[in-house]
Amino acid sequence: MNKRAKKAITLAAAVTSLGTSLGVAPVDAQAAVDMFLQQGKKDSVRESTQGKIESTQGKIESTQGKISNQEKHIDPVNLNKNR
Amino acid sequence: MARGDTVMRIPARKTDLDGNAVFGFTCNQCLNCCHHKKIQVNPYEIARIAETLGITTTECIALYTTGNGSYLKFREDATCPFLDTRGCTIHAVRPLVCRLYPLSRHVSDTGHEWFSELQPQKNCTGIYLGQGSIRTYINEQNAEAYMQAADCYLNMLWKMMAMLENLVADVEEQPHGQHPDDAIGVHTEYSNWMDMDVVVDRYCQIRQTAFPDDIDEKMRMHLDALYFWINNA
Repeated sequence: MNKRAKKAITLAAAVTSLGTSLGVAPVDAQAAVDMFLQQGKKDSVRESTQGKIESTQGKIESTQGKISNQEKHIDPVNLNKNR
Repeated sequence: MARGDTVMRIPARKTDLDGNAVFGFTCNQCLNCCHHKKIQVNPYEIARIAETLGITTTECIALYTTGNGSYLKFREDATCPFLDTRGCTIHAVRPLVCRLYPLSRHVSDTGHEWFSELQPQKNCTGIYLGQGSIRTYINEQNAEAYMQAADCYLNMLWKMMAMLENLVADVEEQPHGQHPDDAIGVHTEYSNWMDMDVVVDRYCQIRQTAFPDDIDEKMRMHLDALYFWINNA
């Protein structure tokens, strides 16, 4: 795995964690992560199959109006405990 | 949000409110809103809690958070880990979302800020005053410093997301050889990047500067290290 790929994976994880902690909608933080992972997987497949698979080109469509929602959330998993 | 993680947003009964919107609330410490919740925490908030508890941010993240430091780790009985019979044991350093409640704050990537008034918690004994303003309430809750810290990390997040988009678009190989990251020694496992103490410790070692006691200075160094990484790696 080249340095660019390593950095992107590290960055993607940081985006996910920090995005969650700041209430950025999952689709916004995860979209960037998923796009790279798709790209990364196709790159690695291309390496192993010697370029036979076309990698997806193009920039990620950024979601218009990324929003940080700073608020308490309900935990649906434990919602019925002790009620 | 981490894969597999789920949250339910509390419905808002009013939204698109600015700081001058009429709002007032007196909490009567019923503690109902400390149950069955997911509480976001960012690196600044973790640092504040860690300092109060006399532990490192690494320990705080391990003991009290989930999602790689994104949420407080609630107990099996669905209570906040910092709740005891007397109430919040970290009230002076409680996270922003606890300070804002029953409000929520929204910030767009263009810097636009607005607020929502959330549906009241079932069995909440707090009193809605019908006077005052959101800005006054925020000041009463000493939320300003926490909002500023959140904005600092938000600006970082927007840059990270833009960088990630560019990495996908840029298909050129990185050159081999000595990498700028090595010079500042910020190669670290991804799980460490949100750990302020780990990052700042490395930062101070490389720059041969003292590890700060002041949390605002630590945050500044944390962000400096992160900015260097995303701009130079």
